[in-house]
Amino acid sequence: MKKVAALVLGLSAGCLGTPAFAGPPALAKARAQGTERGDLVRLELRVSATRAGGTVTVDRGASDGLAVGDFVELNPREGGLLEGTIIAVDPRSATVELHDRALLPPAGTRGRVWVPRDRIKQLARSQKKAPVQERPEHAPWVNEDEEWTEGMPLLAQVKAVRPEDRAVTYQARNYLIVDQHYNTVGDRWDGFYRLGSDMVVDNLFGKGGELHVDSEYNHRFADLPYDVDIDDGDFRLDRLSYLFGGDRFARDRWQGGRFLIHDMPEFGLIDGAQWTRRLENGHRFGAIMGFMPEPNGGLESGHDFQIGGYYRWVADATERLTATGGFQKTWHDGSQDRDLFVVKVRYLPVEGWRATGTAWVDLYDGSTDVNKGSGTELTQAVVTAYRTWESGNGMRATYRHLKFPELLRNEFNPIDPADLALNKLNRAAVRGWRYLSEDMRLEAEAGVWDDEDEDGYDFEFGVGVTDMFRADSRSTVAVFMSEGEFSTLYGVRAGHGWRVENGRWDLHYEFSNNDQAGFTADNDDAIQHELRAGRDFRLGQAWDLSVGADARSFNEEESLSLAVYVQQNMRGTL
Amino acid sequence: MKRLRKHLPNWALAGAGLCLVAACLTQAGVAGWQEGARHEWWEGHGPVLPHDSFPADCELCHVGSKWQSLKEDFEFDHEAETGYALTEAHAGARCLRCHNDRGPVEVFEAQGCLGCHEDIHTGELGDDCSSCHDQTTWHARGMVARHNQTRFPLVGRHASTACWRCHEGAEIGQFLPLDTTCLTCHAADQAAAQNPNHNLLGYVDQCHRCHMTTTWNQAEVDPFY
Repeated sequence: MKKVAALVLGLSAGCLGTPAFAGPPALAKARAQGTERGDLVRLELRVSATRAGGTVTVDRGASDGLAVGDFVELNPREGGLLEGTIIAVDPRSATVELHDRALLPPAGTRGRVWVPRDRIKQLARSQKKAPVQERPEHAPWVNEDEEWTEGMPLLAQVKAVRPEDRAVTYQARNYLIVDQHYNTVGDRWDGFYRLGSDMVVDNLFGKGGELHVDSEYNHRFADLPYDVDIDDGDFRLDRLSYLFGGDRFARDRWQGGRFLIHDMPEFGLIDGAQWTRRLENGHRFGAIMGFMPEPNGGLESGHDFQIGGYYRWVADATERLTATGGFQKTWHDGSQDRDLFVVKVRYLPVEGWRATGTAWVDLYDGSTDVNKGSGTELTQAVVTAYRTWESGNGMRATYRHLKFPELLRNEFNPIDPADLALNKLNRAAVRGWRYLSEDMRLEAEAGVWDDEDEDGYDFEFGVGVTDMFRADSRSTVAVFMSEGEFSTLYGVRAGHGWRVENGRWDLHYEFSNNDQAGFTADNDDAIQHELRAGRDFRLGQAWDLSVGADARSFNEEESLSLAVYVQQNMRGTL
Repeated sequence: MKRLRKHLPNWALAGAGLCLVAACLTQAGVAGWQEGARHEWWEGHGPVLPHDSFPADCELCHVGSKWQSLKEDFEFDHEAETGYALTEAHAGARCLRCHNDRGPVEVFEAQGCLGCHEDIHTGELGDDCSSCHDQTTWHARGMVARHNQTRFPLVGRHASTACWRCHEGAEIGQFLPLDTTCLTCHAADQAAAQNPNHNLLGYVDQCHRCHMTTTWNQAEVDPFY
């Protein structure tokens, strides 16, 4: 009612007319840009930013005479009239709450505000009384970085933020993960607890460097009916590294400590150092040297040493087409171990098909690689091509190839030497999704595989519907089949998930039958029911909590899996 | 020599620590290492964050004359202003984690998740991170169902067993395919089986002819074994 009265008052004031008013600069501007009628003065303004919750910021504030409760009109370019009320003022801006929160005008939208004449006069008097501050003396302005030339947009070449201009900041998280499994037959428990923390400190010495610390404590236990129970824990340092350079001010990038090799993660984790140089055309090359922790929960280091190098070619500065080749040479306890070439190509245009591919090629020396002989072998490859269309439809095709390389390093579970030469795995899969309507999406995936003994296939076909039972929800139904090495699995699953104010709920049910291959008795079918419920909590920006329970019934036993994930997020300035 | 090997892991970690200290000291102690190197990178791309489309009222975002700092109540509708929505954990990230002096954010964004996040799976699982992870936390979901798309679908006991029991590197994101032969994981079970004594009867492989993959119990003896 008050706002309506203000509108009526404002409009009537606009019709009456009064003499112009002279005052301090802010008011002179008001006179130049606005009109003054009756007891109200109209000031022109613009929207400078839109905010969540149906509010906008305007470029007028308390220094112009605005106060909380003033009535504002906005004229969007598309036409119409939006009305709002000022709910907060700063010296040079104000926040306006729109009466219709669904319509947010873009920045730049013109409008006007009606300010009582008395307030303007009072403001003018106070500004007259305010002592005039003398402008401080300073050295002539110097900004050698602007490099502004005539014809260039005024703000296009603002000074880049220098490390010395930035504060020392950090971003960190602490987390606890609990995974617990229980089987009714034999009362078997199986548990895994992870307590971890990682932190990145940026600009630690005011020169743009980055300190990365990442560690985790694991505790695991398992009841083993035919073996000694497992009950142990260990602390692991995943990352402890410092990097500097490699930014717009330094073409050389250095990193030391324990870290994942930059540009070439295929070479793994390293306890050592890496140097990378970026050329003016965007190409990069680098060298690596150090020990390689074993890729398991212990990260035991000191047995494997590597040197490596790589070159990364880029088509242009956008880096949407790149090709990288690298070589890694390793020694295990002083004995020559692996000669590995890695080649990878990334083609990621803005539109159309995208493709990525990585190949691991091992070079064998017959004198040390007794099972593989001499020569080269493609031991691993991952190739992906995918595309999404404007409609949201898309598809992705993936091919994977794996052969175990012959290594002295403790990288895989022990492999029978006789199998080493024969072991292989190939899998090709295609996944596609298509929107039948805005709310309904079909999804399908099919894959084929073969290894040294068998071959098989899998497929899944489903439909997902949004907002079916409630707002902000998604419901899915899918049928699936998988012909595996030892069994054929087929079934159906249904899921329903919905968002709530502080997170989401998820419910799933799955029914499947597992038909075992090669099992000579008649009862080779194992029917399984699975029910899963999960709840995610987003507790502000600082905490995430996920809890989930998964109950299964199969054969004549049941199992229950419980999962808890708690994460604390931190960020700030040091 | 054995003694040396026993202590090698500690030496390696100490070496990593030394590299770290050296890297820190290098930057903390060597003044002017970046002199003369300004704008060698991305000169043609302008500033970290172009301001040419921003409102002229600087104080909407910045604190007074301290132009490197943002106001406490700074808000920015990233989707409306840039067309790229920041959701879940990304909504709470510091701006400079992406908009920094390591290069234009568009270049990183074009690479997908791996443009900013290191690939702890060392390239072996491809680049479709969203098939296992969402943007809330790193905790992967639906992995048992995902495992159906391998040659070893997980059912029964296998579906309610922690990943690390088979994948030794699960804690650090290593999920390379394993040899699916039962004895890869169950050699100790086979050796200890006394009812009947498996070794005595020659039941040393092809476990699936008598045992279901869902459970060890309810075995049916294959008369032709």
